[in-house]
Amino acid sequence: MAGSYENEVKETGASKLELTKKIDFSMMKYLWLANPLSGTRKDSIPKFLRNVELLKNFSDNELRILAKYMHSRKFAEGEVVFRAGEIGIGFYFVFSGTIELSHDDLGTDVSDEKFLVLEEFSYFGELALLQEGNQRTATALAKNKCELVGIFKPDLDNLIVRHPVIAAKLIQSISIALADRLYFLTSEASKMYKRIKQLEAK
Amino acid sequence: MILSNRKNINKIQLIYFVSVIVLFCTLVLALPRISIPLSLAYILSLALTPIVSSLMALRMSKTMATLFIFVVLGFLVGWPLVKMIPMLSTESQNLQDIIPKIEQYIILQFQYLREFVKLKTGHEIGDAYVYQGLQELQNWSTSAVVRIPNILANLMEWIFLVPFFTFFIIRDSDSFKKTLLNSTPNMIFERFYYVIHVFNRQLGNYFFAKLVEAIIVGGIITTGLLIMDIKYAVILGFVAGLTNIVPYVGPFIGVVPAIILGMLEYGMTSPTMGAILMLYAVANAVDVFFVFPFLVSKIVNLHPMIVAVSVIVGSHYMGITGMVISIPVVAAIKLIVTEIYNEIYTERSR
Repeated sequence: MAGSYENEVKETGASKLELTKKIDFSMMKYLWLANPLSGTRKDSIPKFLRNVELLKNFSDNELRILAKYMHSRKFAEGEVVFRAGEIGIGFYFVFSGTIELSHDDLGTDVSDEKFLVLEEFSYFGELALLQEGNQRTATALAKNKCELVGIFKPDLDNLIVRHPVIAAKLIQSISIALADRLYFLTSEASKMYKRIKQLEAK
Repeated sequence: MILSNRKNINKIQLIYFVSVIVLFCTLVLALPRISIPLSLAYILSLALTPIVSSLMALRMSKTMATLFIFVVLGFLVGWPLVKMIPMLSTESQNLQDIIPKIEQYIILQFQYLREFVKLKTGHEIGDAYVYQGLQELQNWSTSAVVRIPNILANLMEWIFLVPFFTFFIIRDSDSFKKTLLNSTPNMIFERFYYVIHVFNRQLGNYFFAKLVEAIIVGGIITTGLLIMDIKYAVILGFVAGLTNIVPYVGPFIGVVPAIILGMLEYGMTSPTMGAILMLYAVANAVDVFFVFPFLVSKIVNLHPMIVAVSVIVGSHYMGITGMVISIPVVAAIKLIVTEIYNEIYTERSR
């Protein structure tokens, strides 16, 4: 929630500081859009994105612009989002519902080898945004009625040209997540290597 | 059970989506009065979108960026147009002088031929055909003059419709795209989005390259003709640049007005005529050897035979517009076919 205007107001209110007197039009526009009574679809995606851990370094206005480049997709129970081996271009956030990732591909009973269940505010498919001709490594299936918010390669291309700062922040966020994962995998691999060496020595 | 039900629903969604798109395309194609300005506007919007994007990077809103481009373009196109209208009116008067000149030239040449044949063989050629042909030419030119208001009305419709469509296609492209994508079935969403993205990019790159090519060829010819101090140099250069957009056939169409003009003004065997032809040859050689290999062929990788066939088919259905848009459309069809082929044969067989 860092960087959010709501927090800022709360903090200044809590510490009994006086709020700024200058009229800030962009802030007024934000407050108008964030008004709970005008709960249209237009501002529900930025609100949702605010709660995604990956996008914590985005400002509210940046999230509002980012949301314009995203697509909301609805999936029915049992519908496949993508299958392992397919060429993918999309990075998805779970807006509502549950998504199941599994290694099993094509047609057969998908729920057999599930290895990850994703709920609201989590994300998947980020490699597709960075890799050229990315092949999905897992099958994603909607376990119940789901809504996903996705950003796709063409959107990222447009974002890079029109809003370079936001595009850079998005790529940075994804890179941080991937670097963390790579670090984890490397340490796991070295642990395994040591363990194998130990077993071989016995 | 759910999966089998789901599959049926997916199929129905897919069939519905494809039939709506096919219906829309047939409707537009069935109305050439809309489809021609619409496709021209689409082409223009593709060529202008990169500029809009760069303006948006400067924190301009999309509407403002579009308006800005339209004001600049309006000035760039409108100013020469205003300058050209008096010139065009005097030139159309000149045209009225030129037609009798052509007639005289043909009659004179025919008489030479007739005497030559008579001298060599003793036979006399009938002259009925020639005079009949000339009469037809006259009739045609009169009817063309009568048709001018009609053509102008069409042109005026285009002059208003094309910028009108272009403006809204550029400004609302994102919301059009979103509406289209929202109704795309999940099954084909990613692939469909990718294909229309690549399609637009390829088409945009193609027309941008063609624009540069036309400016280079038109520029060389205009400068050359101006140096040689030939009448109508700017218009001839403009026509050469414009016709150059049509592959293979275009350069030949472009040289025709220059040949006619040179023949009438300077005669077929004069050195000026030779110089004009040389200039056209040089401009097209520059295009073929330097511009085309670096700009266009990298974007559109089609066999020359396919290019020729698609130009003919395009001209058959949509006239000059068809000739211009046939190549990128065929390139896009090739892309889609390859994508579907990969989907069916490569992915599934793995």
